[in-house]
Amino acid sequence: MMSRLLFLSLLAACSLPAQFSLLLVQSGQEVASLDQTYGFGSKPVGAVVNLEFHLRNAGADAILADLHLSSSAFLFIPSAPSLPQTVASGTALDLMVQFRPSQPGPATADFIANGVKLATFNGTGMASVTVSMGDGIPVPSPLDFGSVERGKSAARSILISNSEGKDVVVNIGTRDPAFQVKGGASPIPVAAGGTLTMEVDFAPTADGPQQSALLIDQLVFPLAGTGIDPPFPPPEIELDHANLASAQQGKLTVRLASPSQATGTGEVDMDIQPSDASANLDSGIQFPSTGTRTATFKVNQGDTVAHFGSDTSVTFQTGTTAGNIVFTVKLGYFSTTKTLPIAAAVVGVDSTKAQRTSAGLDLLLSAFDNTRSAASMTFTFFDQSGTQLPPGAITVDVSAALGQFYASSDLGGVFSLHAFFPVNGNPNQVDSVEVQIVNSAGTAQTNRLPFTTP
Amino acid sequence: MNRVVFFFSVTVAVAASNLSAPLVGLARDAKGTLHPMHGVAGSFVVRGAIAGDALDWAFDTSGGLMKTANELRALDARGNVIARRSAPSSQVVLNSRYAFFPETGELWRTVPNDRAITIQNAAVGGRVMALGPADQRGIVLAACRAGQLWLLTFDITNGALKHESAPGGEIGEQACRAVNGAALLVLQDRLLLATAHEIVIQTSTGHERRVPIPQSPGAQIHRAGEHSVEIEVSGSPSLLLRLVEDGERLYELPAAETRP
Repeated sequence: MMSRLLFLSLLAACSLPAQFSLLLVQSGQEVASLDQTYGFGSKPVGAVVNLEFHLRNAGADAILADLHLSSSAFLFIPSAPSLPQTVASGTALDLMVQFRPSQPGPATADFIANGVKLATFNGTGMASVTVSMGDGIPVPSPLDFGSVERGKSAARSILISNSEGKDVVVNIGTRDPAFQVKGGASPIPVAAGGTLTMEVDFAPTADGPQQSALLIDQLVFPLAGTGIDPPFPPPEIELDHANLASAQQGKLTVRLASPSQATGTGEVDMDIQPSDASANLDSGIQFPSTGTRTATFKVNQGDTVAHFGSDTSVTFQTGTTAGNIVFTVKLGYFSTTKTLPIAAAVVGVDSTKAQRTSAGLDLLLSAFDNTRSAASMTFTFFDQSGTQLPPGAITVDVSAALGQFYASSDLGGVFSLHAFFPVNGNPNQVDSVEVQIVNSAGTAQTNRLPFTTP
Repeated sequence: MNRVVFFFSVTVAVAASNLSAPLVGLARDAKGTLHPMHGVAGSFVVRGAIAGDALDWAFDTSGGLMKTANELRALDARGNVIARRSAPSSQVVLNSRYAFFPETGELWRTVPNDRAITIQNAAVGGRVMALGPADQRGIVLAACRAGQLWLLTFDITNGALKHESAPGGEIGEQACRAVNGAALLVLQDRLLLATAHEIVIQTSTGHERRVPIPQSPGAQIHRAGEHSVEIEVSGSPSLLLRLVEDGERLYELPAAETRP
């Protein structure tokens, strides 16, 4: 009993075709044709035109079980709706119909829903040329030019064939100036039975994906391509001083062999190849602007020199380690290096402070040894008349202490020595001290350092 | 005849405990945090942080002072905070050991013990721009009187004015036009003034020389170490002016490393 009622209900729904009507959609508004005929106009063979329709159900809920077009020149795009489906009362099914004439002459199709003709479509195919790639294969959609550097171009060859029995004139162009048709000014005559080879160029002026279309009469062939940065010119490293020693600051400039066609960033790294492979880490070797051994720079189109922030050079520190400082600049595909040799040197004394205390003499000395080989220090004390005080020069072995200190330091060859000399007598009679420090490069000697009383 | 004899003589040796990382001085970053600056001149490493919100500061090898919004902090010779004291939020002028509050005329010392004296406004007779060197006898205040810079030495025990002199020169004329108080530095052997594009240095003999710096209307200079002056220029990396016997050398200071 139940299945019988269902069958009758289905039959009733299918027996109400008049509740469907087909309406053209123009600018979002439904437009009805009085004679239920819709024209798609005239299109060249191979061209297409799309119109949107609403299949509206003005009656009760209904099942749409059949929907088709009677001619292959017209088709639903992107595909026919899935069937069966229920079209609720008062709603509409959205449809897109394409007219694609395959031959010259008029074409007609009936729009049929649930076995009932609701409308007639007509259009006209116009005699036209056919278009293929230069080697005869169909034009892909889109015709992709791939990635092309700004300032350069890529070309594709297309073949226009006139298989009609008469001469034709075709209008040819593109939608975007990045894509250009070469080979003659439009319109171009094509003799009956003749062919014409044209070149389409993609010459991007901007980076990124770009889309356009090749237009031949009313035939539309999508075009695509991607503009990319051209390569940077080779960078060269320039130092403001060819010879630098430890504990100095220099400036590095990145110059370009020619004005850059590209815009982007690069980086410069610095590293040390110490003369003594066992030398401790030297954090003093760095670019002060970053506090690290890497600095980034920017290159703009037209630049012949890289920019570090607002400057065209970057400051670096040579640190306190003998060896080779190697600068490496990376820009685009290029990588270039420059070596700055740092010679082994005698110990450099940066600052000293000599003070008398009630118990003796206090000496504070900041220095650096870029060889890490300092072996001894000699202290010689003088009185106010410049006479050496007994017991004379006092030499102290510092190699073990410095070795132990460097093992726990990542500041390179710098060290601060705090030495206290107990005095039996009046410290005020000690006027000054000279300090000698011996390393593998020689002997460093301070000036005579006067003792002060705080 | 009174001779000196060294007890340690040849038996003494330098131990690892006598060695440490040299501290060039301190540097303040753009966010107002003070950092220790290790190394030697030309090979600086700025690492770690001492304290934030430093509105003003001064440091030499004997230690330093820093002022936050409502505190005065004393630093030891390694840059460690060793004393803190509530302080007025009003304007302050610092050297490495003393803080002067122009509003009240109070001159504070926090180390080795708290001490304060009052310097009479009438004795100053103008706007205090900087504190100069101090010893057991006196302290120098640099003050603007009628558009001219004066160096006034006050007794640090009772605040009495002991001596006054006008340095003259370009510094004498320009110092009072400075837009901020941290543009002038009074050291033992020279005066420094930051102008919009250079540091003007006047030696104790009255000779003046100039060190160009990046253009900046409000450059600040701070005593950063025994031989170091930090130059803070807006929009540019901080600079360090190394004071040597025969002149000055300018260096670029490293950005503070993020690691402790």
